[in-house]
Amino acid sequence: MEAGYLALILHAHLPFVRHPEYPEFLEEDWLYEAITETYIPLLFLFENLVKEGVKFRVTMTLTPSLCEMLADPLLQSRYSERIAKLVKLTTSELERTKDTPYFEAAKLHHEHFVAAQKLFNEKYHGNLIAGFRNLQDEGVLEIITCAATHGFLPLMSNDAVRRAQIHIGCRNYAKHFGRWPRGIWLPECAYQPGVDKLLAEAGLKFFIVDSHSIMFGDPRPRRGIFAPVLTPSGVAAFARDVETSEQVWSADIGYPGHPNYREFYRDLGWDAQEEYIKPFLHSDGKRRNLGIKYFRVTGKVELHEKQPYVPDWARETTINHANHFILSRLAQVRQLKQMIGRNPIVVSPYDAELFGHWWFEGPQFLSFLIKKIHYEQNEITLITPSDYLEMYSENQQQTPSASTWGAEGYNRVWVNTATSWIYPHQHMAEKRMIELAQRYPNATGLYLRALKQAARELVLAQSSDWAFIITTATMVPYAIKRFKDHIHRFTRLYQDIISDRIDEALLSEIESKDNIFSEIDYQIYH
Amino acid sequence: MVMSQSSFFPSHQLEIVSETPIAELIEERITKPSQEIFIDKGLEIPDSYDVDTIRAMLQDPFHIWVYWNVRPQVFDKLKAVFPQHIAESFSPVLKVTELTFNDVKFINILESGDYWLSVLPDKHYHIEVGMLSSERGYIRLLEADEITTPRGTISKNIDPEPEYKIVGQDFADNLRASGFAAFAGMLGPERVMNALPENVSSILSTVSSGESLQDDQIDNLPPRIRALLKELQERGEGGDLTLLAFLYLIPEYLREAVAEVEGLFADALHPHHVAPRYMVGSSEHRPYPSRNPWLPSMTNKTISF
Repeated sequence: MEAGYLALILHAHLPFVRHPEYPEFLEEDWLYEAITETYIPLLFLFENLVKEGVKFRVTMTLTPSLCEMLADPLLQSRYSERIAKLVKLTTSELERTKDTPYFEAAKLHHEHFVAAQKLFNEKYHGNLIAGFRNLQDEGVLEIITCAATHGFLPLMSNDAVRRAQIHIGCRNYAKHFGRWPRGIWLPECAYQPGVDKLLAEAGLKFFIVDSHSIMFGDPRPRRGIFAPVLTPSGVAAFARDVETSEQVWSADIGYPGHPNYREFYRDLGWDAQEEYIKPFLHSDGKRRNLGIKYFRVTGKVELHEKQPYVPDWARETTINHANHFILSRLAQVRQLKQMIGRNPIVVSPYDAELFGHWWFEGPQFLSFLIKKIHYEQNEITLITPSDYLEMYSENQQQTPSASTWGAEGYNRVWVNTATSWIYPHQHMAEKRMIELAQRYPNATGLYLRALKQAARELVLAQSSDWAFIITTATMVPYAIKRFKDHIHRFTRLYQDIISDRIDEALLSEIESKDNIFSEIDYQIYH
Repeated sequence: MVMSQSSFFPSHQLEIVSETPIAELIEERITKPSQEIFIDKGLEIPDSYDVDTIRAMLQDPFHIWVYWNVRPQVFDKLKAVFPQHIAESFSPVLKVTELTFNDVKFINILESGDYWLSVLPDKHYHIEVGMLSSERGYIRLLEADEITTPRGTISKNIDPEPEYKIVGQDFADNLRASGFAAFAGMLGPERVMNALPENVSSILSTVSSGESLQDDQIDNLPPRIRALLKELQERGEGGDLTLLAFLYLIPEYLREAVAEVEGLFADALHPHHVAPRYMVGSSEHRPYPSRNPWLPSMTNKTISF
């Protein structure tokens, strides 16, 4: 008998990174790695499940900036070259690792890269969005949208620009998926009272928040985080489940840290002899991850003490973890059903890139999990938030607390002493964009192009990724450069427009670089 | 490409032929995750904008960040209205009003800058930039949008709808199931008080009941706060003022007192763990980047116009 529901939500996002001005660019690797290690494996996983007749429903975000990159011909072409190189390298590796403990891992990588190359080039002709769209059309995936460039809504200066991020995101979704989205992933789950009104205006039905948003909401939630609440505007909020997050995310107790799983930090790009590996690196010759890894976690040992990866051991471990996850969910939903007086929904959102990129066996875990849910029990069903709202349209009304899913639960990751300098510039650009939209309604010709491009530069500057990267101190110079570049271009366009001196050559150059959202409508800022 | 049996994996019967030992390569990569020297620092952006502006942004339940810019001509125009000796008595201030209790605080500032405010959860703040004069009082120049700090804990409000009403042990069970076990132990103000150090809870009880603080209670305060309250007492300015001063100083006091309780900061699993960054991080704890040293200022009289 059905006891409850599990909503797996995979949030796939990357900032828009595209540098046509260089023949290759390091930060574009984020996309290529994610395609090889996460998006293609997820497509394989879901397509195989469909072929097998397994019943499931999973929610995925494919953010607008990610969709624009996946659909971009230049990036598609560069990825095609990249996967071809990986196939060539692993062909060589098969020979080199023959009769060594590394051969099975080398074979695994080679087979995967060959299959990925075929899927990418032959089945989808470079556009993986088609694959996800098919899965949605077949009814197994519900794809939700996100703000245009993953902009951090609470730190924007006013509702007009928040509204613009939401609407640009929804329109881009409609362009790629042929329908209007029902749900939205708020960037960083950043909610503040009032944002729900903007979501309602955009026709959205639900969004996701972190656990404390509902637990600290007003009034107290009768059903905790195991049923949605209806915000004042009528849009439903679903809260992240703490227990399932810990089981997968936790650095200490999470599944990915198991000794049998593949070690992320031992990569052929660093381990190999320089002369051998150089043709497969960027032209600067600097070592970097290639996604070919031959060692397992092993335990708490130094990196040079890691032991060879054994795919069969990892597979067995994955099955055990899928079993564990299901047993935990069964115990959870049986208790919750009694407590809350209806079938609970356990909402388990994760960054999609966890599965495959950070946790190599993640897609395999999902495959086993989904199959086990389908074949081996009948108390838990995989559904999406939309499905739950169709079953339970009456829910408690509540104003959730302002919150995020970032470290410490609020806005500190995005506004702190390292990042505060961003906001006066961002807010000034926001103010000016509204001014431009009001001064130049119904623009045509060169003015229309310049206004659209100004809107693009603004949304690119608003990407929450820049502040995140600065705070987490990863590729800080790049994040600073990106923010400054977009503010500079916006400011230049603003000045050119209001002084009636648009430099068409410069405009064309900027358009060719920052070509996100061809459909953008600057009048959304009016 | 055919490779010899020699390989670059050190852990088996394979010879290391890499010119750099693997351990060093790995160590180098881990300690220097970004080896690339990036020389593109981005295009130029303005240092500032010639506009009058103020904006307040929430960081967390205990901090608001505010930035402002007031152009010199605004101050010049204002000062031109008054005789020189009065004009010279004005200085720029940040006026922070907590709207629930209408508590007002003035902070000396420069014409342009930013500030990390220490605030309290579940409160509504209105922040302005203005000019303050001992002769003529306060004149507002700019105001930011009102900002509300998150509660940071469970709501006191219980849904009146019978279907959604939840109290007592039922809600405690709900909290535990949702992963909020620490809060299950804190339902009810008496439990909150019991959780605090005794010297803190005793003072809070006294203050909240409207009684005057005793000498031994004041002696238990951190030195800075004790000195201020003692001074006010000695000036004979009375219990009301002492109470008012203490209410302003509660956030400071709680931070310092709670910091002394072992485990509250360090132990993330302590049921009443307080993240240290909630206790510090405001501009009071930073050197103020100005020509003039800044001290927290509090009015000791109501300003009226």
